[in-house]
Amino acid sequence: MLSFLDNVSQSLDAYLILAGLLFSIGAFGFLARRNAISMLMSIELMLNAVNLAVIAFGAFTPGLREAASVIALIVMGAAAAEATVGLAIVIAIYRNRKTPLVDEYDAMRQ
Amino acid sequence: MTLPDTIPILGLGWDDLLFLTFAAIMIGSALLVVLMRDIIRCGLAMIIAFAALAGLYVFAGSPVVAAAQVLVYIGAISVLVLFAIMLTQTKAGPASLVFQTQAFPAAIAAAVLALLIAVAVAATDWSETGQLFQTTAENLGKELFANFTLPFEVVSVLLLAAVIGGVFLAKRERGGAG
Amino acid sequence: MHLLPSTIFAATGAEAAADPGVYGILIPLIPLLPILGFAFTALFGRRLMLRYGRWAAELVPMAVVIASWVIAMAVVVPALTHAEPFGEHGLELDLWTWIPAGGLTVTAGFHVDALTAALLIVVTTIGMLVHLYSVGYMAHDPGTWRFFAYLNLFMFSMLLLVLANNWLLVFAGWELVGLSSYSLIGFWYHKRSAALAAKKAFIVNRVGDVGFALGIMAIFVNTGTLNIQESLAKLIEPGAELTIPLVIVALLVFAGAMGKSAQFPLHVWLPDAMEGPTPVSALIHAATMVNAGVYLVARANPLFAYAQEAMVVVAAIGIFTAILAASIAFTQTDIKRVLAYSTLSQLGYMFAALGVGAYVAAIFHLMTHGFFKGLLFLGSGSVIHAVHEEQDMNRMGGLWRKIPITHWTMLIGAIAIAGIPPLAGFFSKDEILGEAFKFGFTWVWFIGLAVAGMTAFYMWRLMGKTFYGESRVDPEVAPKVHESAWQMTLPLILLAIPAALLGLALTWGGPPLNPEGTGLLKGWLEPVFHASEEHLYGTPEAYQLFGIDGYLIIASVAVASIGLVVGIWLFGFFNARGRQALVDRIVASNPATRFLYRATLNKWWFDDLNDLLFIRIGGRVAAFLWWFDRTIVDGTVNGIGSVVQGMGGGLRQIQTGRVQNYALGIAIGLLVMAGSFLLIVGQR
Repeated sequence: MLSFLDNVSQSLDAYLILAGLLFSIGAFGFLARRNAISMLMSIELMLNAVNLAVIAFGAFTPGLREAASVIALIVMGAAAAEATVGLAIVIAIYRNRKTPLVDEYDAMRQ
Repeated sequence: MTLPDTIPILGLGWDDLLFLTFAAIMIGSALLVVLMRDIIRCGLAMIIAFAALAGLYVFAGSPVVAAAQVLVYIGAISVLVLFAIMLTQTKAGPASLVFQTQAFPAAIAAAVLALLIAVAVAATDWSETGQLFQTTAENLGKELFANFTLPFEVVSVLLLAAVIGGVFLAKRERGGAG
Repeated sequence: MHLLPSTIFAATGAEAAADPGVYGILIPLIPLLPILGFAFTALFGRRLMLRYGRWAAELVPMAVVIASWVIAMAVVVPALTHAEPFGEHGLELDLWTWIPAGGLTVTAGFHVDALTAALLIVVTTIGMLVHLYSVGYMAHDPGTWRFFAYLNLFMFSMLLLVLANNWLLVFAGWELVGLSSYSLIGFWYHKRSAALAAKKAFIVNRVGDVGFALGIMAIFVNTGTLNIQESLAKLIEPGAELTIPLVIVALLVFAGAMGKSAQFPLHVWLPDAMEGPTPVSALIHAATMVNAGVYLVARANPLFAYAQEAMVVVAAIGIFTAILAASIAFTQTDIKRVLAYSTLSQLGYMFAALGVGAYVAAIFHLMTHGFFKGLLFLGSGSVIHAVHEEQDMNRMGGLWRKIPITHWTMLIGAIAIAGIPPLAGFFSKDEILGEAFKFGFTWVWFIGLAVAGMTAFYMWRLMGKTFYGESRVDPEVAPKVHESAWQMTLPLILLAIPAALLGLALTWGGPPLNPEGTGLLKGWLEPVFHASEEHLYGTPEAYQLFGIDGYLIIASVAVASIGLVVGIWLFGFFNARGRQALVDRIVASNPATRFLYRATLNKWWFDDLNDLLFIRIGGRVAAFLWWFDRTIVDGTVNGIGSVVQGMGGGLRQIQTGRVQNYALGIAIGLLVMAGSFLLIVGQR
């Protein structure tokens, strides 16, 4: 019945579509949420989607192999650094503006 | 008693079923992250999403990365996020608007993006790819410390900088109330 | 200095000598002296007048004009008698290259022939006498120095116009004359009516000047040269291919003459110009400036002779103006207005003469009219002075005993203009009418005859009301009426002489007294007009004193006499009082006369017509255009500004200052690009 799902865990398409879906969800969250930390969480989702895609390619592409995992690890490291600094900034701004809601940071508005 | 080769009614293999389960959990919790009103619950949903993702990494043949995912994302980043949420709570938080005014166009844009990627993926000929390849820890270690030493060191410097920066930014004013 | 007719036929077949000799210096001095006088008086006149008195400011302008007259007479005599270096066709004197612009090269210079000489006589003589008269007339005016400065400027302009040898220089003199006229009409500038009259004169003149300027351009386009003699020769060359037809050129030039010489319909400025002081009226509006138009057409006579349709137009407008003006003069009460309309009428005669081809007659009348009209105007100024600035004839009367010199000289002038022999007007008027009839323009002759009668009538009306009968002078003024100072009466006497005798003098040796000979003036002016006259009419018939010409003389004298007698009977003669009551009864008797009275009193409503057309309707058009400019043109420009501003304001909304909005923009842009890329790649 669900024959198109046969060997789905062995097909590159599935991983990529999943990654794309996760990326879109993250993009929506980034563009739509008001809280700055929600935006950062959405960014983490997007980075994870990228990681998934990289790993998937690494699994199925003969030339990539271990390199894909290395890439994924480095991306993970960068994401950690970015989360750290981003959250520190949000906390600093929160101290100044008393709100974590980004649409109230409008000092640059015309 | 041994398990049957395929699931009785659906005709799927057990691997595929598990894969789909993990996929569903991941997508579901990701949706919860972006849609829920209470931000703490969003953080928790994010943790679940990371966990499901780790399972998917295992299916994709990188158990090392799966382990790193659990350690780094769930163990460090999520905790960091939860701390930050607690430090920036406002009383009015959960009651006010969750979404921006531009949420609707953003939703459409995201949907179009997903569609685009799906179309691009489906339209591409992946016949040159081979079987799923498992990356062992030993191979990964050799690769990492032989050919990718510089990126590895750079990442550690990056992390050091991030830590220093984070501490500096989040520090309280000297002698002032927080 | 031979004046006998025999010397006229002395062969001067050789071309005018190239060497002008002493005349190369004398001729430029004629206009140069007055302009120097103007400069001097304009710069120093006021100070001189305040420090040393009136005479100090008047000395230089007077001296300059007298000197100019003396030199002019020295030049005029050889020019008229065709002596060397003038010859038959005049002396061309190129002074310097004025506009060296390749295709358009204009040399400033003078051309003096018999026609120029005739005009010079009139201009300098009357100019000099008016200057002298002004010393007396303006004796109580604080702005005398200004007056003399303007007078000198006017003399310069007029002399420049008459002496010029190329069209552009004529035009320069033309415009300067207009400017001087404006300054002099509006001399009493604080009087609103004077300022308005000056403006009106200038503007109406300008209308004519447009035609003249177009005519000059047409001449240049046709011939490539602006030298008068050269261009005229080229224009009438047989077989010449002209870009612009001769008729158009002639009519354009005539348009300029119409403006300056106040022909219908550009005649409206002349009566209003009487707002200026009387010497101005005498000089500019009787003797010199208004003759500029006549001079222009006479100078351009080949142009007209070869465009005979234009000549008919000239004759028609001329004679129409004559009768129109004469009719208005019947009912005017201001003494200067009557004389102004009389001037219009006589100018009409001159143009009628030019139109029928009687060129010498036109110039003849120009000269005699200059003298007796100048006399009449100066005399009227003396009268006005005597009754303490009163100009309404109904408040004069019985003055002949009190201001005898003025009276007797004006009487001579009146008889002259009426055309009674043997005074000057008879000869010139009769020649015009005779030639008109003989050349076949019977309608011109007939109307001209009627005008002659009308002229006699209204002139006697003027004399009767002003000098004869009982005194209607304001009782307060009556005892103080006195004769004017010698500076005013001497010019009157001096002008009365040519008014009486010039006609006889200029026809000496020719018809009508000597039917076989050629008159003096005709002999002098012959070479200027010979070619045109021959082209028009071939060789002229002999003068038949006891044939057609005699009958014509009898007709004109009879008509003039009838007019005179009726005038005397109605308006008085010496002590006999006029029959004003009878006049009033006749006027009121039937609707036709009442209408005529009203019509002529209102100048046939031409001023009202102009006011309606140009002020009211023109004003509406101007208001509409102003609205258009304000609302539509400015509105468009401002509108563009507003649109840009609006767009800017709208686009400004994009700058929300919020990162997420910018990120959405980036996302959408990315999607669009990726999507289109996918589609394009997908096509292939």
